[in-house]
Amino acid sequence: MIARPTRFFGMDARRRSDPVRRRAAAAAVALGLLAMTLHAPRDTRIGGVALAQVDGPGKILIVSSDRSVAKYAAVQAAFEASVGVPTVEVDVAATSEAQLRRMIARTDPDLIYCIGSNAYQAAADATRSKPILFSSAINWQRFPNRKQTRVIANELPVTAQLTLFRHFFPSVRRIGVVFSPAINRQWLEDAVRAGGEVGIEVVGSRVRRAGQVGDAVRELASGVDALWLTPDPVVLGSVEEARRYFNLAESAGVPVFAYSPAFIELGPVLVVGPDMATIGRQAAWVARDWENARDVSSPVGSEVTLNLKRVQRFRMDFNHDALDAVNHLIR
Amino acid sequence: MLVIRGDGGGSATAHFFSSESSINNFNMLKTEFDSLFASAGGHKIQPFNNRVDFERILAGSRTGLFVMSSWHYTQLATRAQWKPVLIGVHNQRTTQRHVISAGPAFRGLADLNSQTIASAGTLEFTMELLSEMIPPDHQDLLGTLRILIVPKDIDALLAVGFGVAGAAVTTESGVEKLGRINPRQREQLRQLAVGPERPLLIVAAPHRPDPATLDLIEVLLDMGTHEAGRQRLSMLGLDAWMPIGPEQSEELVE
Repeated sequence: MIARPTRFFGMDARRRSDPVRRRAAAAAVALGLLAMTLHAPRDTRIGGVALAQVDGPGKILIVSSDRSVAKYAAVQAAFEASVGVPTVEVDVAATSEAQLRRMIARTDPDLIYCIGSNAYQAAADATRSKPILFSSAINWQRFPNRKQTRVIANELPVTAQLTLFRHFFPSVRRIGVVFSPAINRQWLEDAVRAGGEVGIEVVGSRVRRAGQVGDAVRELASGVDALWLTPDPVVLGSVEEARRYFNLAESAGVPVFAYSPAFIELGPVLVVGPDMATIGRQAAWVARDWENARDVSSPVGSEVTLNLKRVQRFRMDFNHDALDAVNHLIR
Repeated sequence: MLVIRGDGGGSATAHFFSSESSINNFNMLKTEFDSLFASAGGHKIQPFNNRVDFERILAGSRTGLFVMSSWHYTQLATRAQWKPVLIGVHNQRTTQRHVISAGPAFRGLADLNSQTIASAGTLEFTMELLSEMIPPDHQDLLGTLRILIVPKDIDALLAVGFGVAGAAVTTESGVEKLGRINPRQREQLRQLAVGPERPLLIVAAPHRPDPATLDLIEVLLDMGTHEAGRQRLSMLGLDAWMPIGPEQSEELVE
């Protein structure tokens, strides 16, 4: 271990790092925490290391929309590895409503964690009294308000997306968004403001019907460096409409940034979405500290797909230093 | 320049695990590095997503290379059997520092009590960094912290901005990078502590490398001299490899 002085802002700066003493102190803390864990009625280890002691739930029922879906499985695995309390799992894809009600009655969980929209809808129908945490639900805002409910949103905050756009493509200065004001007016206002933080002008084109999307894309294409595809039910009402959107962008010679890997086959240059394992870990902390958790949390881990073939197609300058932030590369 | 090598001495494998990043890019690394090595000795890379499997393979190997965090190397029980031969370079430096950055409401380390700390490193590495940066008379803070592991430094820093974490442990260069991309988010961060200089990623080899391993060492050194190699190095956050100096090597094996 290399021993060099460290600086402590706001603290006594004369302290020097003493590796032996620090290791002993850290070991003592860890042993103390481990002792507390061994005698505690609940396992409070996070990732195998006992850290914060929080009075969390005693038992959690995990309801998955479909355990065979990789992204749901990734969320669940990270949650189970992090939450440190006993869990029981149910796969809604293989469970009837009546079976779910019986499961809830039998297990009497302190908390139900739902992964995916179907799981949440099924659980919310099955119980009115149990606290529910849910994540990985598309357009989660459409669900009616329910007491004792917490959610981890399914899209990265606009600031995070725009920061990553700028990180990968420093030359992109103007991004166009086709949106329906009835659903995403506030979202666009937030995006315009966040764009100001990174030096990207976000320009919106409003549509009220799917039939208007083509004109909106063409109108934007001539004046922007890229199009930003966001979850909007008017713009993306069907698979065909999604395909049409990308074809229009291609015809107009404009690259597309997308919010979900579901669109990879359609040819976006960059996909910036939430990292599933991080959602699971965030959910674990919400579950452990329910009373202090926010009603809505943003996912904070990102998963990035970069299509170098498309980068070359559109002759875009991209920042090679950003490659250590890429999860998947398409050539 | 990329030297096309013939199949002279067989191929070797570079095994890779980093305690300093949690990004899931293993398939990408495998595809990209193997395609590069295909015309340069036919060597392979084998990324690992966990320390246990990585060390199990290392314990059972007598050949090939092992690429890891310099901190991880110092923790190895079997490091006597493996000598550091190469060290990573980034922005002409072979070391980096880690920092604790917090939201504007935090005035000092004591304010971190019971807070969520975002980090891209493994839990073990993060705890090591925190115990290093938190002074001895505040070590009881460690037991109150909630560590949220995220894929990359930029995620950890933005988590502070979004209020999901009270603070983030990242590399100093990660903070600088955010400052270039999003100055406003950077301005909202308050630096609470800075850690010591640590060597970047290192490559460890057997004390008597076989010809294939020696060839792979040369291939790695060569990567910084051509575009395709530099592109792959960027995926590891590096610009090049260089032979590790005797002083750096001595500090690691102590």
